[in-house]
Amino acid sequence: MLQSSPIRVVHPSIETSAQNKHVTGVDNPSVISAKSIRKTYLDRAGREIEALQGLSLDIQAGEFVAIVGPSGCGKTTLLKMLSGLVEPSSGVIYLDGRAVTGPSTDVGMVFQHATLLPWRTVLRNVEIPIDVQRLDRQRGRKRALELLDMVGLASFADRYPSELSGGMQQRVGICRALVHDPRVLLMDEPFGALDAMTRDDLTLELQRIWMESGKSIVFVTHSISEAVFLADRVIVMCPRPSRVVEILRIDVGRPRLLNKVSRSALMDYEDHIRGLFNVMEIKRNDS
Amino acid sequence: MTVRGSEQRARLAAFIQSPRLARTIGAVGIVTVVGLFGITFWALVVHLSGVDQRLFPGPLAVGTAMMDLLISERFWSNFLVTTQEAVTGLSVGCLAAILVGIVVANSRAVEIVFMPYAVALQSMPKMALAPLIVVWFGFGFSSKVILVATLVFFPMLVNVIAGLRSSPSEEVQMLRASGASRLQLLYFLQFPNALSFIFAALEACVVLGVIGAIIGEYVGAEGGIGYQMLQYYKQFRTAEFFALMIVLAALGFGQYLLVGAVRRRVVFWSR
Repeated sequence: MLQSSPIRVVHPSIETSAQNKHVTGVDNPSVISAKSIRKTYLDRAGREIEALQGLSLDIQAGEFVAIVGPSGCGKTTLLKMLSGLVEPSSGVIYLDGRAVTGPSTDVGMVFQHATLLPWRTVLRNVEIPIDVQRLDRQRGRKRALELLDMVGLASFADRYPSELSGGMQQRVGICRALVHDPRVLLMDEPFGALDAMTRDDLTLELQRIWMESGKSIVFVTHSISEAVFLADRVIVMCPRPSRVVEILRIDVGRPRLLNKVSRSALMDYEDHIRGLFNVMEIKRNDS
Repeated sequence: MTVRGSEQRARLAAFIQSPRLARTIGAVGIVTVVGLFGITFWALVVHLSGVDQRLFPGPLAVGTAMMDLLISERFWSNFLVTTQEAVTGLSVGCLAAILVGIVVANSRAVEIVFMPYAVALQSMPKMALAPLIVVWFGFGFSSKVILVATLVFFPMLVNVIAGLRSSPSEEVQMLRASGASRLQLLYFLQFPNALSFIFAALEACVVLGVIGAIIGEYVGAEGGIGYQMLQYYKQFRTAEFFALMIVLAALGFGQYLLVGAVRRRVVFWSR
């Protein structure tokens, strides 16, 4: 049935990477490669709770992957494991072929809140990874200014975060995540705290930044339309137990726009994912 | 020239009409009126009740005593002694508290071993220790510094620990994801974030500093405002004693204002 629809589904399994290569037809090397990672933790009573069931996943260089699912589905846990902030209970994650054992300088991270330090100016906030990693200051500053210029905030370089709107702060957060030129950008619901219009602006801007920079992006969200609009591949996750239910390729050209043509092309994918969540809901209510 | 002149005039006019100036003048005015009212009330009570002014001096007697003090060399040398004791003790106690606080906030083991003793010591009235400290460290400068330092240590320590622990978790993750070590986390986030707590504690501690120095001088000293007060007490010169009390209040208040001004400069981002 799925074969006849325009939607191509890649089922989550150990074979994911092979299938992806088949689908894309490109032998792009994987930037991130997760091999049957699992995360469990103990609750207060000492019982083992599964935060994420076994998952294997490959992300190609320059690919935009969105992870979508309701809260409690383990999507943030997955992202934190990819960033090295959280260690998987079992399984291995490879970043550029090297096993991840902790936070890596090849990763930039964007959070739901901009997490700017109020005592640093906008420019100094963007420079935080340069300072922390003790990179070349002059080159770092040049790059920080270029990035601020790219998001239209060059004139705000010497302002303090409190003088900026929420959307502007999040733009600064994105610049900071890119300043040390990481290979991968990990974003944890970065537009979740913004109003709808700012959200639309930043969604378009993120697409542009991604197309210009050629980074791989892993983008966690609970908005289906945001995931479908931005991503090459959408990983659909479900809670109780936390797992991947489907990996969906979005075959729509770039740049995608917030107009009728683009959106109608994306609509089928959105409906498909909504359908998946509805089925989950019915199953859970039945049991 | 004329352009600059007119610009200055315009700026002056804007300042005079600014609500901020009006607020400041209003506040100063109210404080002055309340003060004058209080002094008048004080004078009336003393003069109408006919109480012996050697027991309870009126504002005029205290004012005269104050004038005499302010031109005496002896007062100023004592003032300098007490101020130095208070400020040095405050610095030593606060720096020690910040260093210990950094260690305690970053190590569960140290906290579990150290904190019960710190709390037990804090429960001890340290003023009661003053004679012992003077016996141990002499009549001079060091005994007062140590008394002040022990007095301010705990309130500062508690605030340093609370401040270091108050860093928002997303900011911590942001820095860790950037590759920050624990020391870098402290330097880039935890310590700057704790500064508003440290300054709040410092505003409370400056007053403690003056109290500690005076108590130390009461117990045994070779100089200082407390020492001078004790002499006036023995000579039954209450007007001078009152005048020195006012000086102490001014000293504490001045330090408090100074710390507040520095805080607004340093921790400019909070409120």
